[in-house]
Amino acid sequence: MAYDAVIIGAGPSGLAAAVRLAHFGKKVCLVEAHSRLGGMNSWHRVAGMEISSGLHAFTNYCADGRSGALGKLLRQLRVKFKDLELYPQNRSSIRFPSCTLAFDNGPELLRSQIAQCFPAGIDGFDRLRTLIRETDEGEITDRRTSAREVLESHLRDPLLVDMLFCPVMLYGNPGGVGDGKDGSRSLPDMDWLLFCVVWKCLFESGMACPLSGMRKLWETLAERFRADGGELILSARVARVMVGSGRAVGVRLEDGREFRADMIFSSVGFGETLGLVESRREGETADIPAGISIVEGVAVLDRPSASIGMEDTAIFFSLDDAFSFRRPAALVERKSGVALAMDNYLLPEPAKKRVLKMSRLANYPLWRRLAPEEYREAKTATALGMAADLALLGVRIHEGRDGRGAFGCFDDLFTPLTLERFTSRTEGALYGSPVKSRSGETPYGNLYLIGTDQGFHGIVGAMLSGVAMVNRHLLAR
Amino acid sequence: MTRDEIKNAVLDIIQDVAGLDEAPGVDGALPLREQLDLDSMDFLDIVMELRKRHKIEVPEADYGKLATLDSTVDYIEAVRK
Repeated sequence: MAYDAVIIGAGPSGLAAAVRLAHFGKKVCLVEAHSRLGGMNSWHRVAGMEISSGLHAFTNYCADGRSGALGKLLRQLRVKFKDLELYPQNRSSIRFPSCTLAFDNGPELLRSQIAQCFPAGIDGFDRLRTLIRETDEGEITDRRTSAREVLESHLRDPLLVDMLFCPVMLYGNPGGVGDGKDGSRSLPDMDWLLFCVVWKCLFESGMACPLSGMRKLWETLAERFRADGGELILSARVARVMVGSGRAVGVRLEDGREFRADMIFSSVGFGETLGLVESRREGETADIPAGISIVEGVAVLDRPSASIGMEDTAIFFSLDDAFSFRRPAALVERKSGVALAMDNYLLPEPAKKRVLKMSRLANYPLWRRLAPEEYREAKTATALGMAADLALLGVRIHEGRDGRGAFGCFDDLFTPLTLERFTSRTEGALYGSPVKSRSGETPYGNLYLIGTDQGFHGIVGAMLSGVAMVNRHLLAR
Repeated sequence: MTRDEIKNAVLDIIQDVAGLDEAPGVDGALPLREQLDLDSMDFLDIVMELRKRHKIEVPEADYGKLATLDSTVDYIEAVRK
């Protein structure tokens, strides 16, 4: 069987790429290792309730559904904004011991908070925003600029620099720039272009949640893809990308089936994709480092989040004024994290799913080394640590000092090992690799990357990556 | 196709590409991109939809001839003859 394109992975980028190609009459096969759609942003059940795994919300939200990355994506996929049923966030905050900054969808609230808390920094903040607006984050370049150098040259106050880095890094820094080694004392940093991508996701536009979860969107796109003649194969893992004369020519599945294709688009990650290529040419594919991993706890509450002190949609926090972002020396980073309340959106009716999520950086090798009994104990300790640290922020999911009478519990815990198993990402590196391929190109002809490792971020970013790469490499030809 | 049919076919495509609920009201003599706030990705989509729906190939050298609704209709009328 010969296809115009085989797409590896039916997550946001793979589905978007597939829908786009099939719409224009290309013969496409979309292969997904799991029985469910969505990749890193799928769904699972907790206590009988279906919950979006990974990201449960869109960033890049704009109220008119036409501007920015979201508007562009919807037009390219012929999806109507109103069909997404997106509801915007209440508001969110960045919390450090000596300062809290609130923000919501659009930069005005954040700007006024900075003017209040950092009056000497507001001109620099305005200049920084102008620079971000004028930066073309889609530029195809291998040049890397330090985001820290840019921020420090505009904002004199190191606390403000760290407070702005905190949400941007916790939402989208794969690590690896200036902070690559364990225990390294260098200050956290990231690539400037990636900083601009994530900044625009979070601050220039904002967060919104689809009313019925991500699942409906993935199923709608899969239906469209099939109706346009696309072939979707679930529960089938790609074992090898076959090459001939340095060019990809098809894929072989673990069950032995082979599909020839003129082009292959892979969403499984940079290093992971190269690892699939048979007989790699010597010296040509230097190992692509895996990024940093996380733990994520999910707690189903018996009451609204707001009633236990969680009024924000998201809290990005550091329990130390010096924010650090690196692989922790322990199993889990206890000094920082992000807490999300899935019921704190401007919904048309009170939310039925009252769910708190918390994620923090984790050390994959340490989790890997645990014996089964130690692993279970580490999960329990991590869940209790999350509840205890949330209490420091005034969010009490455990009533009373002894922790009995819980309103919920983070006992549904994703470790780096869970993430590795379900997402196929080496070391459970959800943010992708620190090494990006902005052109989508790999050392092999006809083999292209889509998704996070092509350089965009979040649900909208990943989908736009799928669209942009098939436009550039296949449809424009 | 008559001139009016061509015009309606083009407006149908623009409506879908621009994600509008109804056919857009445009001044046929003025540039489409500015009137409808279309970017280069949207413009390429109009070209691809012409190929998909009406088997009309527009070479890149001719993209400039699709600047307005009137010039687009003129162009399609000419290539269909």
